[in-house]
Amino acid sequence: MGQTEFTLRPKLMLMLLIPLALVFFPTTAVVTTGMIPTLVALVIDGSPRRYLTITVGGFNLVGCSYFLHLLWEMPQGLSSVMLVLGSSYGWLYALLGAGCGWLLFLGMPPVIRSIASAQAKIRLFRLNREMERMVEDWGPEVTSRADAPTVAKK
Amino acid sequence: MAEEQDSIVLADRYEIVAGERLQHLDSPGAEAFAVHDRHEPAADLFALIPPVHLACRAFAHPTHQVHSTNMLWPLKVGIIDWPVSGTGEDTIWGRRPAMVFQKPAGERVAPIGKPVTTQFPEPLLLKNVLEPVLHALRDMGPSGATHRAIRPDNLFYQLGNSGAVILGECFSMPPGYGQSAMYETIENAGCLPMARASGTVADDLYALGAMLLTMYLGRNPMAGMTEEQIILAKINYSSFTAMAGREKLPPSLAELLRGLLNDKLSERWTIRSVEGWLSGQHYSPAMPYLPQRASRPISFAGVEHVNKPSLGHAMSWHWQAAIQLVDAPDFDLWMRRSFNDDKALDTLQRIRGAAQNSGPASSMRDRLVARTIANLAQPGPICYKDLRLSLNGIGTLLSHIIDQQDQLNQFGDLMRGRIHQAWIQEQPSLRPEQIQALRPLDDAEKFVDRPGYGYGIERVLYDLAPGTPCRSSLISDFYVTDLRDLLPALDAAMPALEPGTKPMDRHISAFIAANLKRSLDRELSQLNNASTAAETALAILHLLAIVQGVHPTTKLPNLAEVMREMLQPSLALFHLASTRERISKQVDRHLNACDFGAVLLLFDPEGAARRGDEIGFAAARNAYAHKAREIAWIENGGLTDPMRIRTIANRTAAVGSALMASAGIAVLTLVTLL
Repeated sequence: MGQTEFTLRPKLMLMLLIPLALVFFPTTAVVTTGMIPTLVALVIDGSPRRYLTITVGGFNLVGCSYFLHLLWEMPQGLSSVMLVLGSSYGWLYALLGAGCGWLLFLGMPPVIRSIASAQAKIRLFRLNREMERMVEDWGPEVTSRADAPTVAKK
Repeated sequence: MAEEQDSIVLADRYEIVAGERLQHLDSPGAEAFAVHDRHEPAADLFALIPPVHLACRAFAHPTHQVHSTNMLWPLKVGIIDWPVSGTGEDTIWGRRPAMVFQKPAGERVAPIGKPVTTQFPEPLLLKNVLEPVLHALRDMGPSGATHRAIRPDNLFYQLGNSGAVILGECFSMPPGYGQSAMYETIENAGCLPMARASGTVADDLYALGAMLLTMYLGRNPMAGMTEEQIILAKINYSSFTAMAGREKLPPSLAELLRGLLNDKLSERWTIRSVEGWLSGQHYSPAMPYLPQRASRPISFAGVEHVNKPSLGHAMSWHWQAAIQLVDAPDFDLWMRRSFNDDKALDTLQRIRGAAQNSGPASSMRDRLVARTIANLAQPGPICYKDLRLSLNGIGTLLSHIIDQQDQLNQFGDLMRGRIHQAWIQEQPSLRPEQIQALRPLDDAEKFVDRPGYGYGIERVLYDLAPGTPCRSSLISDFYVTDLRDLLPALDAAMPALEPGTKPMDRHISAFIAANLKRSLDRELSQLNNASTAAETALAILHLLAIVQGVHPTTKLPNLAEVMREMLQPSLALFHLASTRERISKQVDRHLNACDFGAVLLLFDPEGAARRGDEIGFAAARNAYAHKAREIAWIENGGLTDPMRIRTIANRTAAVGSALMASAGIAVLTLVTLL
């Protein structure tokens, strides 16, 4: 997986987002602060595709929705920001969301492993049944290698 | 019932009664039976049944074009059903050639195999014997046949036991078979009776001359002499002198006999000469043809020989002594010094060189003797050990000895040693009928040493002796001389054969190959290279289908049944079970119709059925291998690989989280806006 190049499109996105973030500064400040667990995950996430970051981030963002709900019901200003960030319930939801994301990330492999095992059994059963049918139809010679000479049935 | 079984019908007219033998009308080698004519019940007829293992001469000539009252000429020839063994309901039937003749009204002039004992005065001899026989020979002209059986015991009186005679039949056995050496030219007399040339009318006139002499004398002038002694006497003194030299003959008769018994073919009297002589013409007496005399004799086998042909013929009768002779210095000296021949040494060296280079070392001396005889005995037969044969009689001899392993081995050595070619090279000239025999010989030489079905000595037999019945043990009783009769004969033979017997052997394959107008090399190679029962069955089916294509026959239920059994392994060539079942039904349908060609098409490797099956099978094998690999991958933990699981789990968690976030944001936005 090659490193993603910082090309025109991300630059364009930044050029659009930075003014937007400045316009909606209170929201930006609350989200940025509430997403600190995600930043922590980003720091420790070594995978190229940042799956841990995305997982934690998604749930962290949902958790931050309480902060946003409070903020958007108040007048937009720095005083509202401080007030919203002082909500212990907000931090509880934000951290709980991040924790859920972390737990999901850690708990998903055993689930997937179980599913894969079941899938392997089903596929083996289906393949064996198909091969038995092929032997019935074409005879045991069908089991020989394709580059081996054909042996007529007696 | 038995009476009905005993009566066999030829051409829907002649009822041949197998139970009613007429031994007094037998010919040497052929048995005579009574015949009833359905169209003319009063006709007095008899039938001759020639031996089953030889080609019947009557089939080789258009006998129906000749109507002679001066000889026993077949009224009808054909192949009939014939009881081979057993009686009543246990009778086993085969097929035999048959010839129907008018019974001679008179007696036989001399008992079979016995000399004539009655003297015929010259006028009666000419009127009652010479003229009818001459007419008979002239009558035979359109058929292109020669008689080759002119001798007193093959003459019948036209009525009673005196008066004019008629000539007996000539087609039941090979040419010259029943003749003693006295009635044969020097060249033919040395041959085995089965290996004599059909020759020309000149050979018949020679026999006529010998017969006239014995009938005039009322005894055999060479009685007490062995065949070898007769031949040597003819060589040393000329035929006329050897036979009549010590007899008192009327000058006119002596003139006739000298002309007929002339050893030089070009100077022998013809039918026209004899007719001219009968009408009063006289011819200057021909000088006897005698070979160059040696300045000193050479002793061999108790006889002093004074010329090369005499020694050559004697060597052919005493093979072991001949082997010692050619190694002895006396022989070289005799050849070099007794004929004043400067090139004798070169000739002997050439013969020795050719003998050394034309076969295995173990039989070099035999080849040397054979080639030496070919050089010395001119005119003479082709000789090798016990075999003495004419160029035109090779095929007939082979058909006679094909079951006699010792002589057959000698024949094989003769062909491999190219003794016949050596004989041809030594001849000063070849007669037209000999030249005609060269091409089949050249072809046969290519096959004699080729192993496998369709080649070998069997192929040589059918190439050299056209009209020879197929000698396969499966159908040898059915007298199959034509490819048209092969499949019906096989069909008739199958029920009596052991289960599992294949309808093909070396004789049948060689018979097909020799009688088919096109090359069968590809099909024979398929048969010879077949390594499995399936391949063998298909190769046999191929040959049978070719024969059926040339001579369509659809009433072959027994043969079809045998092929049905044989083709079971071949059905396994189809891989797909459903295709196999479908093809099996089609094979059954075609075999019920006895259509071998249609069956063969189903198995054609390039045909739609086989090609489709093969392509499908190749794809199935690939698919099977792919599935097997997939199973192996799964069993090796392909689906539960920790890396794969982690990747999928991480991705799933990320996607789930992203979806959750999207849904959360959407709900928050809606709640806020509402």
